[in-house]
Amino acid sequence: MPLPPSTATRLTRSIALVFAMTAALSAGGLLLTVGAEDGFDTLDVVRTVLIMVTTAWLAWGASLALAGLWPSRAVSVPPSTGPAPRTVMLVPICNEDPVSTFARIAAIDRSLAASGASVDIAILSDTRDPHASAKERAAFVRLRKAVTGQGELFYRIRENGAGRKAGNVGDFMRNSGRAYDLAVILDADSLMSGEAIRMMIDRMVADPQLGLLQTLPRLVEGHSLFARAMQFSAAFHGLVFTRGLMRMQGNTGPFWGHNAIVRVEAFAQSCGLPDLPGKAPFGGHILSHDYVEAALLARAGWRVQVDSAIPGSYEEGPENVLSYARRDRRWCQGNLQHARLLAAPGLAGWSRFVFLQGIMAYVAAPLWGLFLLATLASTVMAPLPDYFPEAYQLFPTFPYDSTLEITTLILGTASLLVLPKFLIWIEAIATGRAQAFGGSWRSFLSMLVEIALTSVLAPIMLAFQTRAVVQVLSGQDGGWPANARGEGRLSVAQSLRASGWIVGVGLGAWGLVYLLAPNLMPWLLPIGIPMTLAPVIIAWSSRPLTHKLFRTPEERDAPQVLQDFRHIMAQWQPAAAPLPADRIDPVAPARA
Amino acid sequence: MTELNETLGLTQHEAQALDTWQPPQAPLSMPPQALTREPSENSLLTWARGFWLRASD
Repeated sequence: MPLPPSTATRLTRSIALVFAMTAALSAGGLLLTVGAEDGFDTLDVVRTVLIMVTTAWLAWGASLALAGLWPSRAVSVPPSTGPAPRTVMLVPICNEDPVSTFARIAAIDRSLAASGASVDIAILSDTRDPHASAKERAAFVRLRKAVTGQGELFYRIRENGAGRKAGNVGDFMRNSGRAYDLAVILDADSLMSGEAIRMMIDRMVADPQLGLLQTLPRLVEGHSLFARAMQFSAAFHGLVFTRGLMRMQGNTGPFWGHNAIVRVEAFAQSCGLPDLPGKAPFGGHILSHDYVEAALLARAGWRVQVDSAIPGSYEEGPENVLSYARRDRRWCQGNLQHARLLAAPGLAGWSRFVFLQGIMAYVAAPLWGLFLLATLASTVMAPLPDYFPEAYQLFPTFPYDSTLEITTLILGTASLLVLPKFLIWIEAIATGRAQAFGGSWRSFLSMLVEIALTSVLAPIMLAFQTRAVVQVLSGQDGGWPANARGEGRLSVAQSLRASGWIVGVGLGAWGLVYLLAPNLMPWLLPIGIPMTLAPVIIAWSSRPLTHKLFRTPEERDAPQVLQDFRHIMAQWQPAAAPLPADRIDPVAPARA
Repeated sequence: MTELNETLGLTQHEAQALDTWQPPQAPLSMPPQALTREPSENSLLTWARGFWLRASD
């Protein structure tokens, strides 16, 4: 049975729900006022429902930030004095760059040795390509010579790759799980300090009901404008959003698949994932397994928590919009597949709601598109103004000017996106956090540029997400191809190949609005311009950025484990070769 | 594969030694969990059917 939420958790959820509903009703009310002026019709109903759903979704996101604004006390537990739990660090990999992956493991091992924690390391390889596998083996031999920690180092190659990452970890649990009490699960691009791992172990020892503890990984090693903006945003804003999430989710927290620790027996007993009946994309393997595993642990009565205050947890992010969109395509399919699990027996209500949020995160994009189409249709089909509705009227009756309502609606929607960021900036100054981001003004400037950049990128991202949703709903399986980590700068030609269709949609929108409702042209500018210039924007945002803008604490003062990783990489990596063009493709779904 | 190992600088001994770096054998049961309901268990469907039958009486 899931643990009941605490009073504080219930209260936070209720306030957030009321806030989201109020925002949705306000937006719907404004649109109803506008629609009622020329007679209420079906399109007005459609538009009102769409704006209410999308506004509720935006307001829900804003409520996470608001809930996380006030600082939390760091959970401190005394270091355990009893026998140390048997702990293993699992690194499931599949066709990754073995040099950088194993360099990270070597850096973590060095950090573990410094922290005094004894942790075994198991590299669980699903790499089946003979050439890639041989490279991996060679890198392992080098890693084996480099490790200095107290724990053992294992390397297991799985032949069949069943169940992808979840199957890989599950295979370890089934074959070796009884040898361990705790397992730290990492991704190939994860980096964690030994001290962070030791703190996580202490937390698990102190709370025997804690089944999973998730850390908030900070993005590091971003070089492009896009990557550094995301890196800044994740560090500056992400901390507060995660704190809000922590308060909202309570003991039914998230699992993001890596940079987390699990209790092995609880995980094995609760998280065996069956294949879903039917074919992909909705049947077969559960792609976004982590959310499901978190829900299953909570269903079995274990605490699942996220703690944003554990320092020393890092990962790398996509370097450009196309890598981001490709990852988003996989996540879209994984999240939409969760629609099959909404009615799974025995889940906590909140776990079902988390699935629904994941679905909304992607469905919101086409809903916004539908809202714009409905607005265009409504304008086109509106009756012509009748200046003299009475038979003998001396002065004309001018149509109602709804500019105020529409402007209020747009500003209200924008404020749900932007206002939380300004509040987070104030929080960062009040708590002194802003210093590590270059001070009050530099962090303010970084925030403004980040808001401008995300506003320009938003229509392009919405286009990619809409296409992903349509592909999944029409039964196209994107599979789960390995991340192409380390992709860098894109040319305009490369960007055009992947986003030419967005330009086409943008130009089509311009033409349609020009022909049908030219008075809407100014309203189209914020969406139409980025779509029409998508290849240029994508290529431009992939350029390296060396400016102090978007400075993060890790760039200012690199933690020891990151320094060690860079040092080891410099020793292991030959001069970086240019990336083959075929690795920079697109977001087109790969067939599984 | 042998040629590739040599190219990558792995000795035959090193390449073979990888087989000994397996995690310990300590099996643990990980039973598949119930995630979908049988049609007869679908409470919403059952409720809707019951509601319809009651309403049509």
